[in-house]
This record gives sequence, C-alpha cells and structure tokens, in this order.
Amino acid sequence: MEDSLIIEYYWQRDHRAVAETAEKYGHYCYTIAINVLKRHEDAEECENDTYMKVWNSIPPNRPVSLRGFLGRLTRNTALNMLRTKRAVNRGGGSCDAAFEEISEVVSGEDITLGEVEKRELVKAIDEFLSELPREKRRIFMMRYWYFESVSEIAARFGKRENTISVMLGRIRNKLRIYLQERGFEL
Amino acid sequence: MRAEEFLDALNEANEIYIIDAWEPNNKKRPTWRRFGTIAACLALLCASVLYLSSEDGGEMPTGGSSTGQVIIDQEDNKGNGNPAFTVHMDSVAVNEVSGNMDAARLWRDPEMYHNEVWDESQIIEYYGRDLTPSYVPEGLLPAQGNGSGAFILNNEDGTVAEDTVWIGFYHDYYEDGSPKLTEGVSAVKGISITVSRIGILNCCIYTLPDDEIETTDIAGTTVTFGYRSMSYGPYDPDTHEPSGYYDLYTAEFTLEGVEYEIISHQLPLEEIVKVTASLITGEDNITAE
Repeated sequence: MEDSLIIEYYWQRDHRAVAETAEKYGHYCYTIAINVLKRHEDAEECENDTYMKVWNSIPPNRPVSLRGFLGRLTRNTALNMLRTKRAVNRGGGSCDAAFEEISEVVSGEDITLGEVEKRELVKAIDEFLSELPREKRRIFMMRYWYFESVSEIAARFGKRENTISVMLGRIRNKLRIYLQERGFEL
Repeated sequence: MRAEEFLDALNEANEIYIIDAWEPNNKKRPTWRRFGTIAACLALLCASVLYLSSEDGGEMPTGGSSTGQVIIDQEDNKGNGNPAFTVHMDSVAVNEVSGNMDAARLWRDPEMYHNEVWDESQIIEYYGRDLTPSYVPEGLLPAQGNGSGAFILNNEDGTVAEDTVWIGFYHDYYEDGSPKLTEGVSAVKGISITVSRIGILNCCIYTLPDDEIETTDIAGTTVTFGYRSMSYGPYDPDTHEPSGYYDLYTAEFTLEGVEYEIISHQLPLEEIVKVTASLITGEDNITAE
C-alpha cells in the first residue's frame, strides 16, 4: 500500500493504519530493534511501542517519508530501552561494539549538550555525511544508525569484513577531525 | 561527550541518508571478486600482457615482477610473423566503482569560444595517432559519430579548450543513431572510448581511497580497471526494485599524453581488457586466458 494512504488512515484514526504499517515496515522496524536490543522479545516490544508512538504522533505529524519516520522512532525507542536494559545486553552485540567504536570519536566525558549545541552537532554530522562518497556514507549509516554488524555490512556490500572495518576506522577518524576543526567539544 | 549522546544526535541525521543507506545494494558479487584476493596477489607477480611471437610461442611469465612489467622483450619477438598478445585475466586488477563524476559540460561564452567539428584526419593529426581500437568485440557495430569530434577553440588564439573525442561500438542502433537497448535487459550493449589530451576526463569514483586503488600494467602502460553493477528498469513502483542488474566495466589510462576512458556495458571483463590492450599495443591479435 502507498505510504500516503497509510498516513491517511492514521489521520482518519482508522486502525488499518497500524496493520498496514506492520505489514509494510514490520521487518524494517524489527531489524533496527533487534540490532540494538539483541533479544527477540525486546525487539518485538520495541516494534509494538513504535507502532503506538506512530499512532499517537500522526496526526498532528504528516511525515514526508513514512520509512524515515518509523526508522527514527524505532531507533530512538530501542536506544531508550537499551539504556534501561543495558546490563543484560552487554556482551559483544553489534550495538555495544558500535558504541565502543564511536567512543574513539568522542572523549567519553560527561558533557551534556544543550538544544542549540545538539542542533549544531546534527547539522555538522549532516554536512560531514554529505561530503562522503555515497557508498562510504551508506556503510557508516548501516553501522552507526542501523547498528548492523560488520559481517552483515560486508555481506550486504559484497566486501571483506576487514575492508569494512578499515573503511569505518578511516571514516571515524575523519569525522573526529571534522568535528574538532569545527570547534565541537568532543 | 559520550558515545551515547553522539549516537542520539545521529538519530536526527538527514532522512535522505537514513533511507538511502537502507536501499537494497545493487552490487552483485561479481565473479572476479570471488577470486579477487588471488588475482590481486597474482597481479604483483605476473605481467598483464605478454608479448608473444605467434611462431615461437614466446615465454610464459616468469613471475617475481612486483610491478607487472612486460616480461618478454618485444624486440626479441618481432619478425616472426604477426605479433600476438595474450592477456592473462588472473593478473587484471579490478576496482569497485561507487559512482560516476558529474559529466556536465562547462558553459562556454560564444564571444570567447567557438565549436568546430573535426574530421578523422584532423583528429589523427591532433592526437598523433588513430584512436580507433584495433580490436572490437564481435557483434558490435561502429556508431555514426565515429571518426569525427566536436572541439571547442578559443576565438582569440585558436587554442583548444575542449578536445574530447568519443568513439562507440554497440550491438545495434535506433534510426536516430543512438545505441539500442537490448531486449530483456533494458540497457545498451557495447563499448565506448573517450579521449582527451588536455586532461578533462575523470569518469569514475572508486570505492577505495586513491592510494589503495590497484592498477594493471599493460605493455608498460598503467591501467585502472573498474566495475559497477548497474541496475536497469522498469523499476517496481512500490519498492523501487530494479528489474535486474548488468555488468559495467571501466578502464582509465594515459598513453603518450592522451587520456583514455573506456566503458563497456553488458560485456565480459575480458572484452574491455582486450580493447584496452589493442589501443595500447596497436595490435588486434589479442587473446585472453
């Protein structure tokens, strides 16, 4: 079903909206959730929470891209769940490894960003991403936005795991320099 | 800043990048990649092309050449009949192409520049050689525009501002002379060669950084081969999935100050290698093994 029609169902408060969303984007949401949370039950819970949040946020929202909207909600929900379940989920999952990798970019110090600083950071990240070649950008996003494991990304892009790891390492390094040059306190 | 905070900020990244990352990868794992590691090693050991005599059979690569130089001295093999080249496909290094450079042409002020269509003899005089490859894959026909080139010259001093010459060979053509799409796979099938002497070509963006791109030595000329899996339509209106994918190969090299870019559509790798070898050596008797 067309996204515009699904969104229309939400606006009409028609419950078919959720069923259609689940049918079309269930796998997408579940994949994001499982990448972060690692446990099937948690991922299912996250997926259902996401549907509820979508139901509560459309209207008033009318997303341009339902996939993007759902993706963000799922990822956000999953990361919030992870924070509360962190202790149980530690232990070599792709998400934990991704956190560790990103720790190379940031200092790890407890610096709380204000709304303005956060917006500036998002803007800088967007600019950095726009300057990356498409494939590198996609690989970076698959790792740190979708939290796919290096081996999954290697399979997806038809490359060796080592190649992906090296590419990611270089991108992280570039990102750190890029942000430092723009005065971000990392 | 903690990693968590950074990854939270990343959540708000431009939606385009989020959606684009999830798009199905259009890259098939091509056959050469399966043997890529072995081929890369061999590339360091073997010459790309051996200059062999058709009568004495020449010599096989002795290996040990880390630069991929021609192992057999051409002089030793001349005078024994038509020279032949054997291309060793195992030693051809192919790099993944992630995209094409913007091919938009510069706008030229007509008060400063003018166009001229040069014929074959003018082109040969300018480039100092015939740009037509000695070897053309079987079943391909020359395009209508072959043999002429659109040049842009400075009005004041007559210096050449653009000198790109394009030569094409395709399986078939429409009435207007443009290459025909094949049945089943809606894409052209053939090969095109673009040359320039003033360095305005730059077709490919490779996945790897410049210092990691592997090159192939063909008779002393360094060639960069590329591969891209190209999607073709019609595209699914809901999922935007293409109907399928086909192989696109590229070759870039500079020979006697002239830049060459070759692009093949729906042809095996060996064909672009053979065309490249024929342009470099000027010979048409080329086999691939």
